[in-house]
Amino acid sequence: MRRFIPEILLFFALAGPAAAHPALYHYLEINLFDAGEVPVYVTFHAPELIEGVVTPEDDLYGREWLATRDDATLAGLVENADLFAGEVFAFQFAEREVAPDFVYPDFATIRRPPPGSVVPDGCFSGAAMLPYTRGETALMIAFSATAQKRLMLIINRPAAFPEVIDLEPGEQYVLALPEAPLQAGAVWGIAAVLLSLILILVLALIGWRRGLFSLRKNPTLAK
Amino acid sequence: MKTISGFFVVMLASAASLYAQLPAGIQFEKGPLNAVTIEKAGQRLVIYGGGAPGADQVLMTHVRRDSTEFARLAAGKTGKVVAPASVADFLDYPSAHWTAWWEKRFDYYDQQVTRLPISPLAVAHPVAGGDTFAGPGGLELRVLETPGYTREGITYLLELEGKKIAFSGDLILAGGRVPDLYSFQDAIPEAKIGGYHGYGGRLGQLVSSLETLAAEKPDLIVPLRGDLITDPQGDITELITRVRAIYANYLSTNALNWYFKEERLTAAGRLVLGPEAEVELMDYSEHVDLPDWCKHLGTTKLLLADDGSGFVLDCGGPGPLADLRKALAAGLVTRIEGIFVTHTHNDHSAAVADAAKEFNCPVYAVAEVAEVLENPGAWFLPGTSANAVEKVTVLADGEKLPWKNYEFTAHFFPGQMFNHGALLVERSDHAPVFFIGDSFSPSGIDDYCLMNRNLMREDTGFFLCFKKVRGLPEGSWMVNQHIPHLFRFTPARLELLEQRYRERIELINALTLWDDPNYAIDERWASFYPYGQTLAPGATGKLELRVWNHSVRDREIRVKLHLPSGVTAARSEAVLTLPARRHGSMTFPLSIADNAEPGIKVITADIASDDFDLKQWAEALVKIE
Repeated sequence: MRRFIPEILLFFALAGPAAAHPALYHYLEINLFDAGEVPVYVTFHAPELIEGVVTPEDDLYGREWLATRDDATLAGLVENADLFAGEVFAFQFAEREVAPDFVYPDFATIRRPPPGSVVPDGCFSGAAMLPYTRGETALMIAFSATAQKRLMLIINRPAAFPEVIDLEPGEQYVLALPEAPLQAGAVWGIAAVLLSLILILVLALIGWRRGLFSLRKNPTLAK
Repeated sequence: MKTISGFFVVMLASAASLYAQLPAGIQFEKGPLNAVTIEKAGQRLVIYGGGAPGADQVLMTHVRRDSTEFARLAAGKTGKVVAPASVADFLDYPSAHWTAWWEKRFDYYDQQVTRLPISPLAVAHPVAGGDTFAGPGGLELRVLETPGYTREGITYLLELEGKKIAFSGDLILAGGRVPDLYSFQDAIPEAKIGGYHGYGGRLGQLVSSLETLAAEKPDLIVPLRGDLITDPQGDITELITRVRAIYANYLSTNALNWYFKEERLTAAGRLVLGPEAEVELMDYSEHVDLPDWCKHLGTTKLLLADDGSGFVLDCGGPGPLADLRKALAAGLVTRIEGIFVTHTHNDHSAAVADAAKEFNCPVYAVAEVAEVLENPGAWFLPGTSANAVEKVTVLADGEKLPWKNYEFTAHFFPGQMFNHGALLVERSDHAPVFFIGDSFSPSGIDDYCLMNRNLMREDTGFFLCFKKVRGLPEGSWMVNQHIPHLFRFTPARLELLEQRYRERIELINALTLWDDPNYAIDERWASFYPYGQTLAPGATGKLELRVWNHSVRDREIRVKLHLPSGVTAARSEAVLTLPARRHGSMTFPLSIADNAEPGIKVITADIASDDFDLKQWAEALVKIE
């Protein structure tokens, strides 16, 4: 849902999600601040996205690794990040599977995260928004058995410590969601139905009163 | 008892018969580094170095500080140096490395040996695997790519008087040994494991290089150090067997199995053990969720008291610090009353100074951690943050610290690294929890980085940790700063971990020529303090050389400084006698000349004892402003 890009880009510019250690875990962070939408953030340890092998000469964890990649390499990394996220994470609201449309910071931000960024050295993040509707009460997050390392799933809620769930490859987690507000279309739909019902009732009442009136004028019809 | 003549000043009487196996045209002079000379048609080829300056051609197999200076001696001003192409640029301009190193040494996770040359040496002929080239008098030399002990290692093959001779540098020593184990620390790209987690990361390359060399069927191998190898096939087989045993043992108790799982560790294992090898990994110990009073925020753990206040263990960066701010702002915790730092890696310590200032709270640590936090530039250790903590309250090993409805007990806990502590946390409504930093995971031991100084001694290192874990109150749990679970080992699991660790000591002992395996795993056994310091022209300072005698006998250590221009010392030589298993230091007062050029200067020291002579071994940095 590209309409969320401004919020997400603002998030990237201000801080980004807080993965603790680039190498040991995959990181997926979810904010449950607004009912009806679930923003998800994946942190990618960039050298692990390189096709083939990274040469040992590369400083895999150093702050300069991403800073010194050219545009073509960064484009490849982002493409691989997208493929990786698609392969490793699956999201499902009840029976409805969703394919997140991740967005990524621009190359300048990937190379040099802004001051105050909490994204670890050598990492960048992708973000997606998963909207849900009333009646969808849970989000199932499946973590692929082929992920090669554990997942730290972090759930942020208002006025609460982050909930941290440590998943092994192949495990899944079901996240209970706050009830989504009624959507604008649905509200109008319900209002239209109610208005129609009221109108029918009013018309029916008028019709009934007219009928009663004519019966009173001609009582033989009542038999 | 093993002798360590290999390094090595003492020449064994039996060695004379070994040298007789060399073709008559080769002069071999054994010393701390071996010098090989071949004179042909009035020209002189030197392999490794040594001898009179002015050799026509000098062959280098790899680049370490001692081997480079040795080659420089032979080359003089006119000799043509042949060296691996991958390091030719570095040799041209090493000062660029050292200037950058002043900053790069912080937050450093590549874990490569730092004993690199300081002065430039022009490479006339860069070579790579597969190259052939002519030596003096029409000698034909062939190059094999043989990485392992170093990334760039090559081997020169020469056929002379009907014998095929390999000059392989430090790839293999006589008896199927290598100079040390820590030099093999490196990334394992095939398993997506970085240098910091890459224990024996180039052992796979070593095995491949040895197989390549064996396939050449050399009659003799002439190493840079120690005796000639007169049974190449036998010694190669022996070395491969040894490193496979060490690596299989390492993997079988490895903490990384918790994080990286079987696929990556099997991939790493098979590079060393063979493509079809079964890799044994330890299953997970009992683990449960964290209690409500302990919050996991990145690598920070926040303990909550009944009155709503908080006590923090570690603060490794802006992420955990931001989480603490949010918790305070949301009223989830009323105030932060103290920070205990488990160890000095930046993912645990980088934001401690900022957090202490912002929350106006004391910082606690054991002495071995406190000294690095307060003065990080004086140390060279993996992942050291430059963000110094102004004041650390030192807690003695075993010292108790009551706090609200808790009782804390500090411990020196040299597990994942030597500069490491732990905190036993007790409260009346829960079993004790031992916060052990990064020293164990539910799958084993966090010993993947040798530069962390995991000393394999009964009196310290993981043996001390095992002892402390055994001594915990019954029913206690442990917790790792990275893991949101409590876990504990059964007595049988502890027994197995300790038994495997003891077996590995014996395996490493057989791998190298040192009289104690700790020299083979502890790169910092002789090191300068401070590692880096800033001095102005005309100023004075001092430099300590700290030496750990890992041997089970007394040692006399002789030290000779090598000083750069603009720096003088009140004395440049000293002798230190150390009892068995003790450490000590010697101090060298320094003076900076009034007209000293600004920049990064490197001071080095030769370290010698009765059975080794290590040239330009330790280094220190002085930044002249």
